[in-house]
Amino acid sequence: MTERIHGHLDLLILSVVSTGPKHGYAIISELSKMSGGRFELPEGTVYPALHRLERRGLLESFWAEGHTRRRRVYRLTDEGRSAREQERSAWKEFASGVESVLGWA
Amino acid sequence: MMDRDPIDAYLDRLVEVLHGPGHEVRRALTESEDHLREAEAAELAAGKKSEEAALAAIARFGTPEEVARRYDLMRGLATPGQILAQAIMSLALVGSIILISIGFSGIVAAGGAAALGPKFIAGDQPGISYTPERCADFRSFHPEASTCEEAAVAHHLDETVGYRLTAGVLGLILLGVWWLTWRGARNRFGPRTVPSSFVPIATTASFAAASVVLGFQGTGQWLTSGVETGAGYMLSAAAVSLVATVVFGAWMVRALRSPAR
Repeated sequence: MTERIHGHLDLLILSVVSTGPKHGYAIISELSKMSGGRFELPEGTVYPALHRLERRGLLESFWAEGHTRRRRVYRLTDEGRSAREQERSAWKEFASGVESVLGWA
Repeated sequence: MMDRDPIDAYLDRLVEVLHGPGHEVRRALTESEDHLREAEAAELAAGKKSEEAALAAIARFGTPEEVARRYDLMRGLATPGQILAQAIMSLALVGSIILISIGFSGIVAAGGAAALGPKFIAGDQPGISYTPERCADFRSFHPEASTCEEAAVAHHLDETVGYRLTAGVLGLILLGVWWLTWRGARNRFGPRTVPSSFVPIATTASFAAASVVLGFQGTGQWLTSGVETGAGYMLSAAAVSLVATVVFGAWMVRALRSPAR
């Protein structure tokens, strides 16, 4: 399950961050909450994905002062927003194809 | 009550296994600590005790090796130079371990000679004879010996123990150089290409093969020629190899079970 989630993690993260800038802990908590607890994966493995998306220019990040510590906050770039839309359309098409096949089987 | 904060211990381990440029490692550590402290606070708020909360936060975060492996995957492949450097470092570690074990076999050989007599380790095969010049040579090393055979055995024993101990010292030096290199330039080796299970597998296979070959040869020599014909030369090395097989075999099993192998 963990590897399957990692295969779609980029789209999931982009979707969570599309609702507004968030730090890593908030992104992971929301991912878990929005999936109804289905997407439980080692939380530390989400940060490398955030860094990868930033390297690809889909996210940007900055340090913000928290209550006790400074923390890295991530937000979607314009490129990230359009990548999310493309990925979401591709996923819907794929899921619809799978459902059609499963519905007939 | 734990002596040390589990999250601090976790972060210490994480910094050991993370690769990459300093600023990336520093950022990964800062974010990891921030996340773990927040997760710990959430667990405390949910009613867990201090240590339980920290351990639960760590369990949710994943093992340091697993997290480091994801960072390695994120950065992509190592360069050919980094792959070569990793291969050399792994082989150097295997070599140093084998040399140190040879040093241990020198100590075991010295113990075997003390317990069962020098001929157990350094006795000659039946029918061996030496020229007068060779005998004089042996006697020059061991003037206290009453016969040429006794001087020859004492000389063989000196060489066996001495050479093996020298190998052990060289192994310790190599291990020291390896450690200093690894510690000083760890981040330059790039994403891990050589699996962490390579060293335990290579050492276990080497020691297992040595145990079988040396064990059979030594036992065969003992059974066919007797205890005083140098059977202990092989058996002392076989005994150390056998112990090393068990020790490194346990490490190998642990490494193969690790998710970041």
